[in-house]
Amino acid sequence: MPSLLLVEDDPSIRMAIEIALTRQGHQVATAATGEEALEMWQSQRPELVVLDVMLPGIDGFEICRRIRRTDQVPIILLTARSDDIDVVVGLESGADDYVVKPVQPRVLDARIRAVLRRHGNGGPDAGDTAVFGDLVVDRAAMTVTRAGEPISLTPTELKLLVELSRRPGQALSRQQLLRLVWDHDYLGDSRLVDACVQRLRAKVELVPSEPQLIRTVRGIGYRLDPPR
Amino acid sequence: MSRKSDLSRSMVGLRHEGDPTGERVREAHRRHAGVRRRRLRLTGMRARLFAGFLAVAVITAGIITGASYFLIRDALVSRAGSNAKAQLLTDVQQNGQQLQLSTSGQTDTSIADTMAKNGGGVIVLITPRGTAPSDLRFGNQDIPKSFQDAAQTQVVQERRIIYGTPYVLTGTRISPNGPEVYLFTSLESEQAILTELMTIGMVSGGLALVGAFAVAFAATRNVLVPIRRLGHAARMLGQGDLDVRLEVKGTDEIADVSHTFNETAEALARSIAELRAMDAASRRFVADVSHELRTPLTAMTAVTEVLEDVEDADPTTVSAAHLIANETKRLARLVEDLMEISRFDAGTAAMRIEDINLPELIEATLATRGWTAKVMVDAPSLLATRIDARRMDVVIANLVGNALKHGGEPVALSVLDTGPVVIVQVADSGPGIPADALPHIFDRFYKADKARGRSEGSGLGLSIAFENARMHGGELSARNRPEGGAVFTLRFPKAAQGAEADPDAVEQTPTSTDSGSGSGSGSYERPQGVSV
Repeated sequence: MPSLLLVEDDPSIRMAIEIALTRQGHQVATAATGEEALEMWQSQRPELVVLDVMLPGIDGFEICRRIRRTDQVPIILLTARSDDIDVVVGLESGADDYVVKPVQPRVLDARIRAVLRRHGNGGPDAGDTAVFGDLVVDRAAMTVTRAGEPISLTPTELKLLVELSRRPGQALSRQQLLRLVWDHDYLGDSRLVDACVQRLRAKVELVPSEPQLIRTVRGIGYRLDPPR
Repeated sequence: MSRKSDLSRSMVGLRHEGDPTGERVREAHRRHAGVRRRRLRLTGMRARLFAGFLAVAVITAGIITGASYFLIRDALVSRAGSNAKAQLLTDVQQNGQQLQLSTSGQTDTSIADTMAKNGGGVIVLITPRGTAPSDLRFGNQDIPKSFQDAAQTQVVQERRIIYGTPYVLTGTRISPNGPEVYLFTSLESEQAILTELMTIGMVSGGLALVGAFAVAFAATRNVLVPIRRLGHAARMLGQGDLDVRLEVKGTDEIADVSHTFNETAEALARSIAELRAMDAASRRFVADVSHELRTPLTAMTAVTEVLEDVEDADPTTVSAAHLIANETKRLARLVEDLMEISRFDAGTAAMRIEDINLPELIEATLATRGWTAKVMVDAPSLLATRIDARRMDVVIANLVGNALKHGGEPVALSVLDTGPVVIVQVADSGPGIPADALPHIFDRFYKADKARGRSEGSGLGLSIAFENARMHGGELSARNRPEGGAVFTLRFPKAAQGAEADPDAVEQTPTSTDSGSGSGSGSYERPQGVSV
């Protein structure tokens, strides 16, 4: 049973979401403050964190950043609204996905399962390895190395890189990537893709501001190229 | 919180954005007003002032010239008359005896010549022997019968014009039954004086006219320039520039009006500021209320599924639980819509422009809500737009949802590409929108069907769609089709202006785009796996 850490300061919301997620078959631990959340993350090692952005003390973004320093555990943000700066900051802080309050338990559960699927994705194309210059994407072992050095990626970043590596030189639209990586429909938020590409570039590109591998294709989306 | 105030507010906002287009339009407007203002209108104040001044000058010159003409003419004529009379009497005294003794016409003529030579003028003598003129051009015919009759007993005088020259005719009879003496005294010199006087009058009249013109020009300038400034300021005030003030100069009526204008503008600015503050406060209140409602709603929404799954209790409890679950969802939608509206009002609604294939988005919008089978879509397979996907989804969903709920199937959605503008029409087959409801169809909480007190929607859907269309620089309108049913028409530019969603579009050069193996530059690649 996957274990989740739910971080939410409002007791009613915390209790309600705990009830809903438990009903969906998750094992839920809860934390009311940022400090408590970091403590629980250290002690319980959850498989996924559902994180409210607005927290007294250490806020959701800071928790996100602190976790990301050492851990690639999937993080889903609970945010107040979809079109504000919170989402952008949250995704830049390393969150994998976000949901907007008030959230339907079914939607939250679907997002959680989608993120967890990425984590355990090994399957169908066993045994093949893609090489882009000195970057090696081993799709069987789900590992990425650069000049022999392993690179630590979150499941979402890894999945994005794997999907791009399956279609080298081919531009993929943001909507396509949303579907392939996040299991979102056409109307998903393309900022998820942009933020994840930025994080991925920071990890795999030599000069992240001048990407040589993951290129932007204007008006379409992104493309993974062998370096020239 | 009416739309009207909202619209005017945002229009003012637009003006203060200082975008080049708005500035140009305003400049053109100002120029137009200027042209209209400066053109000389026949009924305008300037024309009337000029006419007044000129009329005064002409009338004054006319009266002075005319009065002096008549006075001088009378004086000249009466002087000439008395001179003539005196001369005639002198002539008669000196020559009367000789004349009475005369026996022949020849003598008469020579006497007439002598008399004429002594005094000037023309003498005509009428004696029993006939007529003896000193100038042969004159004779009996120049002396009217009535005058001759009057001259029998006294000295009479009359003015006559002979051969175009004015004369004073003086006549008398020397003694009863004696010879008659008539003197024609020319008034030519007097006439010349009068003509000269007329010329002088005309010239001075003309000079007065020029002077009046100059004075009128100065006067109209002095009056019209402040009035024009006042008019300009009033126009600026009307256009929403509440800071416009007039410089108060002097203590005349114009200064009074300027002072009043300034006071009025200040009072207006004050009350508008107050109204805006009140408006902002009430909008903030709605935003705050919605925000506060969201926390309990988040908790309630999370557990509605628990209530929906209640099946094992008694029927009343099941019904109550389902009711609460449904109403919670409805409340959540209402609060979401209220928050969206308050973001429009606060001007914090942000656009996220992306490259979107519109037909694909419409497909997804319908599919997500399970409407694919209920709506006939007539659209090209590819129509590249730059729009906010979430907002466009809301517009399409609200229009189609409205058509399905209040109109009736079949609902037809058509997409028309007219070059720079995209037109989306949603037509239903229902009863149409009542004529009195049509102007209010996009008002908040407006319900076309009053009998339908409750609806599933929040009553804000079309309002939100309207605002979202505006955010795209487009417009949304509603009308009834002649063949029945309502049709909503959305028009928006293919490439909406707004925040760029593509974070690193700038760093991409065209050459590197072309270097790829699969995709050519500019070609839109249909995402794989999305069923269309």
